[in-house]
Parts: sequence; structure tokens; C-alpha cells
Amino acid sequence: MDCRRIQDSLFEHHQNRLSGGLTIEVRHHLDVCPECRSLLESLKLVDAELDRFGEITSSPYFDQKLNVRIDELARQSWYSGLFRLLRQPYVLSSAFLLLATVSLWIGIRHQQAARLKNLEDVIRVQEKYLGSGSGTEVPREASPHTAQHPVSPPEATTGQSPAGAEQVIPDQDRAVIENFDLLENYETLKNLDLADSQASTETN
Amino acid sequence: MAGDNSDVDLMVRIKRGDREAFNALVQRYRKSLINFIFRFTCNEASSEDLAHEVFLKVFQSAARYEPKAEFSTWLYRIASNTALNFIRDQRNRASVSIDADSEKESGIPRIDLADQRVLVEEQLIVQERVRTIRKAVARLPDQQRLALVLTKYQGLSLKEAASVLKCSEPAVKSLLFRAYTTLRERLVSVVSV
Repeated sequence: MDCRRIQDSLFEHHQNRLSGGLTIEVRHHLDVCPECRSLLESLKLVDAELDRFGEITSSPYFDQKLNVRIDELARQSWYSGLFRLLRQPYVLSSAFLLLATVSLWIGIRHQQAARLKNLEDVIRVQEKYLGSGSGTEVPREASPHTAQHPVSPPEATTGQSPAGAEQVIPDQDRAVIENFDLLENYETLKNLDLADSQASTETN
Repeated sequence: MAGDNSDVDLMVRIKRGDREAFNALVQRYRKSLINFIFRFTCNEASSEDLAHEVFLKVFQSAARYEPKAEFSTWLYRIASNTALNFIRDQRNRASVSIDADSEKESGIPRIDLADQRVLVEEQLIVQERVRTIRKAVARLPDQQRLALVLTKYQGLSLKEAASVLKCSEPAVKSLLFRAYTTLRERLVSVVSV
């Protein structure tokens, strides 16, 4: 057995990991080869020095800190799962599109409802004060920008009720009348007012 | 019953979310894992943090764990990769100096002698010797150092070490032989042949 083969097996021989037959061969070679013997000795000495490397002990809070990190990991995994999903381009854009569509729909419906309510208010006031022709004198100084620059309500004006008796306009109705932004059929009301003036003139 | 709680059994329970099983596994491998990382990185300060990372990875990977090989092999593979990444990060930031003054002297056996002066002197000699050994090991190439620590300190067989290092047994033998040869040259001051 040549030195090269022996040296390949020396490490395992040193760690007693060689088979029985091979161990005997190596021992026989070591008996006659000082170089391989020296190499084995140096391996043993290096091993002995490596045994002095030492070890460390863990801190008493190792387990506690580990469990805290695992709990935090469990919490983050839920959020990160959701964010990972949202980071997908098609998911994010679909979500935005859906949100925009829903917002638009809600906005339109809200606007429609508001306009409908305003229209109902206008019709109610019309029915109440205009009735068969006589009606309230609509303040002409009111402008489409009344909402931003509200006109101070005039003193309680009176109007002719269908029965002919004077009638005080409540404040809540006055706002409807004065705020031309809310009046959907402002032109019609204006025409009615004009018609009413003409009627009064003709009567007189 | 201890016989029923093999590593594989514990991992199967961890897969189902059993934290008690995970804690038992941590108890079983904590010391050897921390010391493996310490001996490989030669960095005591980071050993516990790195051990935490390894256990966290074990916990996260439990769902994908398949008992095809020994659990310890799987664990040391994760630990080796984690430690290697740490070392590479350290190298990229700055050169790591295994300086005697900056390194904390831990795990060095103390000599109990009556004479205080002799005690101090002996202690210093021992400390210097350990420092030399640790420095020599730290300067080995990563693969050689890994092979050395896994077989010498963690008690893995050549086959198990080969599985961790993802190479053949002859390759592991070669790594060990070269590591010992290098150490013999570097430890010539303490190793008299």
C-alpha cells in the first residue's frame, strides 16, 4: 500500500471510521513509514488543540425571545399575505377600478337623490304658494350663486293663498325659494311670476 | 414518552401548529446549534441571533418538511446557509478582524490553582492558545471550516456532512484533510510534532 492511499485514509483511521481490514493495512504501513506516522501524529495534535476551542452557553431568555419573534412573525404573515396579494398588478388595478366605479355610482345616486329632494321641495312650495296662479313674489335679487353668498332673508313676505288671505312664508321654505341653485324649474317659476304680474295688471 | 418524541414526530406536530412540540425541539437543539454557529462564525455576539433565525426558518418551513433525511441534517443545512450568508455580509461590509483585544474570551476553561500569580499567568497562556486556535479555524476557507465543524464538533458522520454540504463523501474527506493540513501549518507554534 503506497503512502498516498494511506494518507487518504489517515483521517478516518484517526477517527476510527475505517473498516477492520483497512485498519490493519494502515497500521502495518504506519509501522514502517515514518512520514505517514508523523502525519498521523500531527493530525492527533491538531485534533487535541481543536478540543480547546471551547463552547458558549445560551442566554436564559433565548426561548422567550424566540417565542416573541414567532408571534410577531405570525402577525406579520397575515398582513404580508394581504399585501402580497394587493401587490399583484391586476389585483391592484381591478381593486382601484372597482372602487372608482362604486364611488362614481354612489356619487351619482347621491346627486340624483339630492336633486330629486330639491325638486320635491320646489314642487311642494309651488303647490303651497303658487297654487292656481297667485303666488309668492320671488326675490329677484337672488342669484345662482346664492349658496356661496346667501341673501339675507327678507322680512316675512306675504303671499296670496288660493283663498285670498295673506300668508307668512316659513323660514325653511324661504331658503328653498331664495336659493336659485336648487330650483330646477327656475325658468318656469319666473314665467309664473311674470304671468302672475300680467294677470294682476289685467285685473287692475 | 421520550421514545415517541423523535425529531420527525415533533416536526409532524409542528406542521400542525403545535408550539409545544416546537419548544421541545428548540430545547433539544439549542445548545448544539448555538455552538455550531459560534465555532463556524467565531462570533459569539451574533451566535444567538443567528440561532434564532435558524429556528424561525425551521418553524416557517415546517409545512414543507418531508422526513426524507435525518432532521439534524436538514437543520444543519439551514444553519450552514444562514451562517454563510452572515459571514458574506460581514465581509462585504468590512474585514472582520479576529483581534484578540476585540474578541470576548468565552468558553475558555479556567485553571484552578492556589497561587494567584500562576493562575493569572496560566490563564493568559490558555487564553492566548485558544485565541490562536480560533483564529486559525476562522481563517480556513468556508467549505473546509464547515466540514471541520460538522464532523469534529457536531459529530456528524462523513455521509451526513456530505448531505449538509451537498457534496460527496470523498469530497468531504478531501476538505477535512486540507483543513487539518492547513491547521497543522498555522498551529505550528502550539503543535509540536
